[in-house]
Amino acid sequence: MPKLPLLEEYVSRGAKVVFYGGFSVPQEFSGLAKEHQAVREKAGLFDVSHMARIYIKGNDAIPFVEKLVTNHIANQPVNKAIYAFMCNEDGYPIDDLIAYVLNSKTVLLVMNATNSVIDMEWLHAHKEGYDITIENVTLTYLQLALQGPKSEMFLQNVITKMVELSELKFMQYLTTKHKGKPLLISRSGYTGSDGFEIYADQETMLDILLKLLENPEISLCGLGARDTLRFEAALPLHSHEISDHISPIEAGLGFAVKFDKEFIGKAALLKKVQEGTDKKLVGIELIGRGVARAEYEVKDGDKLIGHITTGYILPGTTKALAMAFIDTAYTKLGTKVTVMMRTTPIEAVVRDMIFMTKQYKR
Amino acid sequence: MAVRKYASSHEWVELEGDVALIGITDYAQESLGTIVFVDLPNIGKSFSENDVFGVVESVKAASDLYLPVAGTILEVNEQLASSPDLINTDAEQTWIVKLKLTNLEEFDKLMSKEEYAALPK
Repeated sequence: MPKLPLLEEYVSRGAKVVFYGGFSVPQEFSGLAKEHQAVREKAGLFDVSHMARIYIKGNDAIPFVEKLVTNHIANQPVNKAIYAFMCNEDGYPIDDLIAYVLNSKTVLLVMNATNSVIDMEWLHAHKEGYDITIENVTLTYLQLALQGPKSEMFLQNVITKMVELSELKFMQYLTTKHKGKPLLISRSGYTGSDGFEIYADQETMLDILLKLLENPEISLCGLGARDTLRFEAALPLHSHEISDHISPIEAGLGFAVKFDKEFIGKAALLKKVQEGTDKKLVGIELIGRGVARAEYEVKDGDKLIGHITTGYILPGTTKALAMAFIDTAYTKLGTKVTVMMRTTPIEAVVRDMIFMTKQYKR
Repeated sequence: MAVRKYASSHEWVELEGDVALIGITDYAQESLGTIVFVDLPNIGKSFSENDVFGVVESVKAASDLYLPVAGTILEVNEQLASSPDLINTDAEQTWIVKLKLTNLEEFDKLMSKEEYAALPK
């Protein structure tokens, strides 16, 4: 059973561990609510090395990734981190990902832990005719996320003075060295706050981790807070807001789908844009008391109109919020619906998905 | 005088006469994390031993509440509707329901504080 390479370090610092995406990973340290707040107010540090990191290398690395994902890959500004979907022919995401075009022959894909086996199968199944190799480096090339308004200052303190993090904008990356070893830093994350994702080998990462943790203002955070934070920012999680039956178009994520290029699933997605879709992803707010959890039914009277995809009462708040995938006929803001909390119907209303203002550095 | 006993499903039961207050243990609230909602039963409803009588929802998950003794709900703690996190603040002093017991022998079978503390968790 693979474990997170630096897991022992976290256990020694009080991590409650859960099994997720094939790995034992920290779920919680000081408590989900405190960790959520730490990211919003100061800085939280997540080890997200369970995510799949896959190199596509070779003469056709760029055209291969271009063909497989929905967003532009070739001829993009240098140092752009690219969010995209890897869809099947029907336009449904096998996974969502971030692509880093490192040079003309190397693309780094960062994908979901829970999908990594399927991702690898899909990549291999489509490589014929392309001069590429596919290399899964998840266990040797690690990934940390430092998230929160103080991230820039705190990270700058522990890395070389040769780079200025203040020059990076949201979804841009740089490469540098740390004690002679390669380091990739991307201004990105999965929380809706400003922050960075850091990629390096194990020895380099441990050095950075220990230096960051000398700072008492940085809180170690687990996957529990990562999910409440991404939910509050209305960021999609695969198998919830996007899935084998929710495409990026239905989820309102068309910004990462480009129809002026060829990719697998294009025809199906274009059809959805042109003809509209039967269902859409919306925000939901409960009026009655309760919590709307994933997979709860959404109804109009006795009629089933969809399901909750993720829902919480966020730490420090009293409002029960959710995202839900429901019939388009009910998606007008303010529409009254019912959420079945187990066997109890709870009154609810359709709303936008702006649960917070994202704090990205543009 | 009230006597308090504990169940292996992490509830405490404080009995006086044939009426008991029921809450969850400090260990239970600690494992659940921040509690954001408590789904309480209707007054007058009767339950058997080990029935689910309510649901406590933390930020991350919903967990069933088990009744370690059979009985009828006399009262629910209305404060939990607006302040469910009272359970996090002081689980051992925050009762959830008040119950008229059907069978006092079921209470006798529960654990003492020491026995509960020694339980492998």
